[in-house]
Amino acid sequence: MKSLYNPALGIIICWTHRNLLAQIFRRSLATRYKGATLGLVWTIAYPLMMLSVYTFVFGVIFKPQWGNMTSGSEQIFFPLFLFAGLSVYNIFSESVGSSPSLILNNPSYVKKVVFPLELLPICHVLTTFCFGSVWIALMLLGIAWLGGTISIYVLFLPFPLFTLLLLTMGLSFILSSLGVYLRDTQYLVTIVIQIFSFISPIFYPLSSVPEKLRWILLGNPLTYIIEQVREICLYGRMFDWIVYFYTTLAALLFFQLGLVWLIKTKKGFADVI
Amino acid sequence: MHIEPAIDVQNITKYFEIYSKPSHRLLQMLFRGKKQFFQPYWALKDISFQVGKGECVGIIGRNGAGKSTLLQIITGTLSPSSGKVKNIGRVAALLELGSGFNPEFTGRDNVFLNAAILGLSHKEIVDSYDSIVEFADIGKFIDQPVKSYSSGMVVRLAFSVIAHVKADILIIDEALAVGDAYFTQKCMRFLRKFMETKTVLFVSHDIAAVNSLCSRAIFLEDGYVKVSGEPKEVTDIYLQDFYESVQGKSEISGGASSLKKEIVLPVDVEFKDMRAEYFLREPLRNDIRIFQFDESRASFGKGGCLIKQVFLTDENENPLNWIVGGEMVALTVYCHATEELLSPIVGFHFKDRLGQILFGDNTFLSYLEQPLHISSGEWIVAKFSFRMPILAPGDYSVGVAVADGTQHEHVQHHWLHDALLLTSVTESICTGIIGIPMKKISMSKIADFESFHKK
Repeated sequence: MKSLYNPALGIIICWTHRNLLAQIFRRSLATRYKGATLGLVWTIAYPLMMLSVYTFVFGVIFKPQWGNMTSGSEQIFFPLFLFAGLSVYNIFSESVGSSPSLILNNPSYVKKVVFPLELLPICHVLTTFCFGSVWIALMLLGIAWLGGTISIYVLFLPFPLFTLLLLTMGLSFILSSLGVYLRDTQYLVTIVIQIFSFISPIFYPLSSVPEKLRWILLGNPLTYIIEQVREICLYGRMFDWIVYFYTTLAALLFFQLGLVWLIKTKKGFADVI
Repeated sequence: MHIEPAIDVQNITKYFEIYSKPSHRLLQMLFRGKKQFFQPYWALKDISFQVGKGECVGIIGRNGAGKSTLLQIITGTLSPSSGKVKNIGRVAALLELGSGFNPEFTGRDNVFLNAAILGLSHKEIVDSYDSIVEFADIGKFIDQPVKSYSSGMVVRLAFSVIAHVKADILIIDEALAVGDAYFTQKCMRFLRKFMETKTVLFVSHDIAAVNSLCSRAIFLEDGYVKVSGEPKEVTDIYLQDFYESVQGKSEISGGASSLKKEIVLPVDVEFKDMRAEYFLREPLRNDIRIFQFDESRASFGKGGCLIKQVFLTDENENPLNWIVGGEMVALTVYCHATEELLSPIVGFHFKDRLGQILFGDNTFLSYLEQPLHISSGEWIVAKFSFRMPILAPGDYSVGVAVADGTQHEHVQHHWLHDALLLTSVTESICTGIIGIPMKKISMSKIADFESFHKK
């Protein structure tokens, strides 16, 4: 049943409150670009703009060494490699970046009604994934348009994305809880996310990092996810399943820990908010 | 066989940690239990009570007594420091104006959201949506964002949702004060129906509402239960508490008068039976029995002037022990002053069994221009002449009080909750709480409106 040690706890919670979850999820999607004149156009405009800027800065001005590209010249495929990393990073930074204030921004759900607060981070991350997947779609479109082949392995995209989902939800659970007790959490998180953008292989490949320092990136879960996405979309080959297994297991543990942490700490929220 | 109470509150205690600086809060987390960086504020101290199914319990108390905290703990949004609460059935709570409403969303969205939070499935919400909108009666605003609503509209919508979620326990915290009279009536009607089978727990400052709706009342003071019991009893004590907080502790307390100078009136007063004037025992006559004035009944006050005797008399000033509804009577109050009173006021309330005030009056306006100055040792007699209304069968009481000052600012010297007790014993023609005897009833045919009206 609903014991804290049940590995399917997350699924049980989602199922028990499926109606409520559907409600807040729908609202969350609807209010995203509500009131903005361009509205949903921003979901496409924003990533394209970001991509252009980064391509120019890192592809033209900085000119990193990309070495082994399987097809085409550096100029054409660099933006796509960048995009793969940026897409994953975007989902990560958006989900995690605004997590600390998730529960703080809804005091009435803490004090006025009996509300399953776990739904807030779940809904938030799911929303981010929805909008973030547009980036991935754009990337695939870009590959097709620029003459590259979309290999069959692209169908395995849900796998690394699932790992990302577990990871970001776990982080969101913990950060949303911490954010209630310590307002500083928000500032810390902003800095840490910035750091992550540099210690993830977004602007440079893992191979270009000197051996001695590679451990920094290898300790970063995003590294694996980004590399896996690149393998199947751009290099047209399968990623290493053993590596995938371990990273996903770690993400699952993280998810479970985060969920249990939130459930235990939420009893004290009403006293603090 | 032990029937489980709907709400079982067991030894609930709650304290809040008051930190002088936010950094202390962090230090407390690190030094768990070893050091104490906060001042505890005890909001609730060892509260226990039970509410059975079908009961309506009203919680009254001053602001800051702990009522909202208690309700939040019972609802489950706040954790107690110790003790536990057991609820049976679905709990729906209206804890504050627009609790659970998101101001950015429309009323429609909020109905779906709130109903989902309270546990309804999507299908159930869709089915009751029209009914909810109708009950709320906010017209086209249902499709406008809630932030544009007036507070009255918010409470109408919130209550409407609560009314439709098929709850077993309803918890309401002062949120109904905001609605207009029409809406309040609607709520009361709904609550009365709801209470036939389900449980209600509510906080109110409206004594009349508590008296008329609740089967039990709890008076909370400074975090503990001061009094619990019949609503009338509890609200009487609440009233006494209020006056004492304004004018200081009563010299008169409880039933016994503890003053040194006691004056006792001769008890050999002859009582007349008004019914004797009516030889035939008419079935439609309203006979009301009066029980003698008893000084030892519940009262409070400063004690500067004491009520010594209260009679209901006929037109010839004969004290009565039976009166007939519809006849002229005079309520006569005798008071003895032990202090100087600059402008005494004598007043009375006619109340029903539940403590609801049916009618009453006082001497303030009549003597506004020329206050009656009383020296210590003098007597006052106040007389109110009126036609006794027809009373529905049941028990009634007359509360009498003598005060000094103006109607808005005065010191209560002696407030007797139930100076006289009455029982109406005949099946009468009374409709409503009291019956006003009709001076004349006529019905006739007329040709048309114009010719009759111009006469």
